[in-house]
Amino acid sequence: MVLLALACFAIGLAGPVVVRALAGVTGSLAGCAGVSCALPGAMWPLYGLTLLLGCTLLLGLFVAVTRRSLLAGRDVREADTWGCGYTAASARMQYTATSFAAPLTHFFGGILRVIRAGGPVRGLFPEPSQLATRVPDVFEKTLFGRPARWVVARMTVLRKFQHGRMNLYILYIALTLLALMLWKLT
Amino acid sequence: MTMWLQKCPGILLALLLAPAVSGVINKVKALFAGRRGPPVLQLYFDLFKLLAKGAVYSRTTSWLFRAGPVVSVAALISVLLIIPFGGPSLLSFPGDLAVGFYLLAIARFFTVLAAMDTGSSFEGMGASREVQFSALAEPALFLGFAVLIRMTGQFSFSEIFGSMTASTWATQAPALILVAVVLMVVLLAENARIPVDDPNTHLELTMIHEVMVLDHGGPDFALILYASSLKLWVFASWFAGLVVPRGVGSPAASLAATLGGVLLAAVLVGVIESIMARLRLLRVPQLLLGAAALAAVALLLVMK
Repeated sequence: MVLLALACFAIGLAGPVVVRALAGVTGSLAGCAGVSCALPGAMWPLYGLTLLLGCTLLLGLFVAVTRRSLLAGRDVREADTWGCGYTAASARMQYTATSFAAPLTHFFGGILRVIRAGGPVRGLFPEPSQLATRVPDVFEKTLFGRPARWVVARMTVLRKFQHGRMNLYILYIALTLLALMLWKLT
Repeated sequence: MTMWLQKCPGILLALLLAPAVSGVINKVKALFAGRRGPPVLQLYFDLFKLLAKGAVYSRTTSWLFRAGPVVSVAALISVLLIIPFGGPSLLSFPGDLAVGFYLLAIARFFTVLAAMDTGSSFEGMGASREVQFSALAEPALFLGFAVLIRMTGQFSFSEIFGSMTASTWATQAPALILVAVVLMVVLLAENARIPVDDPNTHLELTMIHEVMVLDHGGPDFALILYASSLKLWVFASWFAGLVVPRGVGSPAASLAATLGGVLLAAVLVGVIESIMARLRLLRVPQLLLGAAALAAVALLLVMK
């Protein structure tokens, strides 16, 4: 995973090198050789991108070194996260992924159809209460869930052919070969 | 060599004058309110004060918190490399505008990560709002620039704004006015200005950008303030590149005219902040979608 991420990073930074290396393949597909023929106009933006992102990295390095040298020898301390007067904050109070996405899930509520179970506490002496929300996959639910289930239900009939008996599997192969042979003969 | 000399003043002006833009906005607001207001150079004083300080870090933070301000400044200066200012930009290639938008997104992403790294629920809330509004501002920005791409047939900031002449305004004024309005709305939203966010508020529950940077101090906070002023400059120079047509005279005159355009943007922001109240948070998406709709109308106008 880390290797793949690093490879993405390297491809992003060294676009021209990668494209040049792939030029043979693209050339054979396009029916001519060389990057300029297979991908006309692609090299200059890639060079520009590499130059710009190289500048970004160098600038980042420069700012980081400047920041470090500014703080060297100064009073650098550690303290609690600022809590607006409340000092007993715990990880349970941290913003979760659900809260983080809440404005957008609320905004697109008409499409996402959030499933909500339970609700807020009510009354002066409330009973214990709980709230659970779930955002179902909108595409699975509306687009491919139902046809996929229909196909799966029909295909379960074929399960009986997959029973684990080796002698019958060999018979399938023999019948297939026979069918192919007959097809070739005709 | 002369070409390079022509390209350099824009970025040098940006690096030097960017903090003065918020000073101009504050002066205009003070003028409207009948106050004297802070000096135009106030942000420079703040930056120098902060750069001379030490720092206090939250115990829950990691390297991400320290990387946030550094990445923001580096990404913003990189955007300035591809933005023209009264002349061609230092670096230009077809498609650089998408790179520019996503460099701004990288800066925002790291600010959000730094905010969430503190574990504070306030900062998580600000981060959540920031990404919500920027996700809605992005279509407006892309559609706005799609209009300019369609109009000029170019794919880089330098070429697009280079083709923006007086005759373009003469023939395409309605679409250009709509794009200017869209750019101004996105400027207000992206730079945490009224009516989207109030840069002066200090109530965590209502803040967006400011609440994300509550735990930063000293040089880190100076970097964040500087990055914010560079971001304001970036949007103001896009606005200036649009409303100040090219080809009005010598390179120096063009540079001065674009600087005037940035000043105009700052004055407009000051006026808007003085005459408008902050929108309710639930109304902000409507403003941003309205801007996107205006950009779509402008696109229809140029596609006919």
